[in-house]
Amino acid sequence: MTKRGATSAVWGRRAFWLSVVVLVAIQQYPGFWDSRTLVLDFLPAPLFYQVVVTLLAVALWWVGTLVAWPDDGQSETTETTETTEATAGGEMAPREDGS
Amino acid sequence: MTQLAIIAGYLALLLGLGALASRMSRGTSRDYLLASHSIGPVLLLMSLFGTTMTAFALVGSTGKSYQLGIGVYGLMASSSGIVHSLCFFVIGVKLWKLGQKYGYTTQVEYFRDRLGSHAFGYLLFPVLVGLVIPYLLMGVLGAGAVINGVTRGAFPELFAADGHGVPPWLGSLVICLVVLGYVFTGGMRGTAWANAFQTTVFMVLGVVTFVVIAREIGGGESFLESLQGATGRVLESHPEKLVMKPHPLFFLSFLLIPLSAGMFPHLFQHWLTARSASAFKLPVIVHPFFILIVWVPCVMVGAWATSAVVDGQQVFATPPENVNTVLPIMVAKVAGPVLSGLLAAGILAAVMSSLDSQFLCLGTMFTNDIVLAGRKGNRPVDDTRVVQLARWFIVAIVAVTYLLSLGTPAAIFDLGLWCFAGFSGLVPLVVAALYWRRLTSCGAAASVVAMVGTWLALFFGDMGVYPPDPRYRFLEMLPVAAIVAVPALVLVVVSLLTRPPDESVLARFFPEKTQAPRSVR
Repeated sequence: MTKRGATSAVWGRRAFWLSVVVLVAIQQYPGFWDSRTLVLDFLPAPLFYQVVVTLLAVALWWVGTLVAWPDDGQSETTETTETTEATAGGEMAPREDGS
Repeated sequence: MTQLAIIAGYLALLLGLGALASRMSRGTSRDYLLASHSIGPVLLLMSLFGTTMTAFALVGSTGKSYQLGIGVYGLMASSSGIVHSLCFFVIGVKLWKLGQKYGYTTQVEYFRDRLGSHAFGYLLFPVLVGLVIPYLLMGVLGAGAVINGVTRGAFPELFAADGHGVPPWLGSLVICLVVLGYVFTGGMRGTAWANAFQTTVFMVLGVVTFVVIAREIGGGESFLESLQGATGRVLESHPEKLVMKPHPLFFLSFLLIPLSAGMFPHLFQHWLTARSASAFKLPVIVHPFFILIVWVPCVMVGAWATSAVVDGQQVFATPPENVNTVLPIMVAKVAGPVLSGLLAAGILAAVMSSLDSQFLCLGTMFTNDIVLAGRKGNRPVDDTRVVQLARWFIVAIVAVTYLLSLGTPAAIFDLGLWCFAGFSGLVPLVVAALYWRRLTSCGAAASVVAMVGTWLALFFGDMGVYPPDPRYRFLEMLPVAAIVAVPALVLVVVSLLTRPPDESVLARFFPEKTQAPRSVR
């Protein structure tokens, strides 16, 4: 990685973690707690607000997996010391979800 | 009776799934306990979500929403959407990597290695088991309440004290036996499959439940009109259930409850089943969305239940003695026998998808942390004997939990807050172990003792009641605030006052910081 790329990655990670803190602050914001507005005439505004926070969390964690993922090596399963394995035999584990 | 037949059919299906998984087993303890680290992103997402969504999420949240209103979503669900994924991100991936590198199966194995202290395992093990028991208790209580709630009136000649439905003690017993059955036959692979299957079942049936309840109590031509009608009734008779009124500090302290996911032993074991670190990405992203899908309907149904009218009669003319029955009673009132049985199976799926992981994890911890760790020399290990010991320990703990469930039923939500607070109090320990080189075994031990002491002091000394009092506050916050802050402080102070850990230990866990710095190319 170039020096410029490394610096950019560091700033990306910092911006991401700062965004997490901001999201927590948004989640704690009490501005809508007392609102009696019903969104679409059925969803109470305080609940709607918290639902939006959850959707923001989905988006934020997606960004996090792109810019701040803690495993850059993308390590795959390797055979480890298996002190209790009776029949290891060195075979590879089957994949179980078709992904 | 139709409901019971459907529930029985569903339970038989699960036992069959366990048997199928058993046929695929390689017959080794590693395969039984960790599915040979073969779980990919989709199965990992489903099993992690199924494991963390318990009776607390369905039965507990609906009951609590009935009591407090829609603010329950803000208290627990939106905070969990942020904090659970944070735990997967910051703790899960790192522990997975260490587990892969050094072959760990349990948390205690990791901490023993990281702290260079075998004795620490004997301190942490009983604390973890002690905290898992109330967690199991939530599931066992929830299962009994659900089966009782949907079968009320099914036995006109029997069980008068339980509304002529299956008594909770019997429902809980059957669920315990079924989960034991498929965990014993299928091991971790069976558990992961059952979790994925049950997560799908409870999410789909959860949405169906929501639609059915909304249509029945809301009326209206379209679904939107039904939703508007159901909420409209609450607005007329209980408008306070549609707003939030928590003290800001109280609300803030709820952020610490989902932190407990960082130290759930069964979640640790599920993390280790992952095939790769990148398998965590899907759970990190999608987990909050799944929380939304499950919690919003439950919270809305709880609020609607305060004002719901079916066939001209109010569903809850007086508040139920046991708020855990709010959801099953709502289901039983609005759905016919077939749908009611299916919906009950969906709720039970959520309950069982946590119980199975917890059962399996308890067995793993006992054999690895106590039996295998305590053997002398290099005596060979009988793999079959290891699995047998795991099963006996599981049966013993389930028996204790079941006996506890026969006492006064606690509100699942309130029981959960105390149980999760204990796990949250151990999170400073795992974070320090992963990220702070200066952590010492004395600091870690003192932190665990401080957590237990603070928990016991607040629960028995200050509050002193069981079932837990839902109005209880400590400095305007949930007790979890003190149960996290005190051990964290003790951990830092005692670590700084005691001898730093050996460089040889640190080199294994912080290799990048012990090597000479390399220039960036």
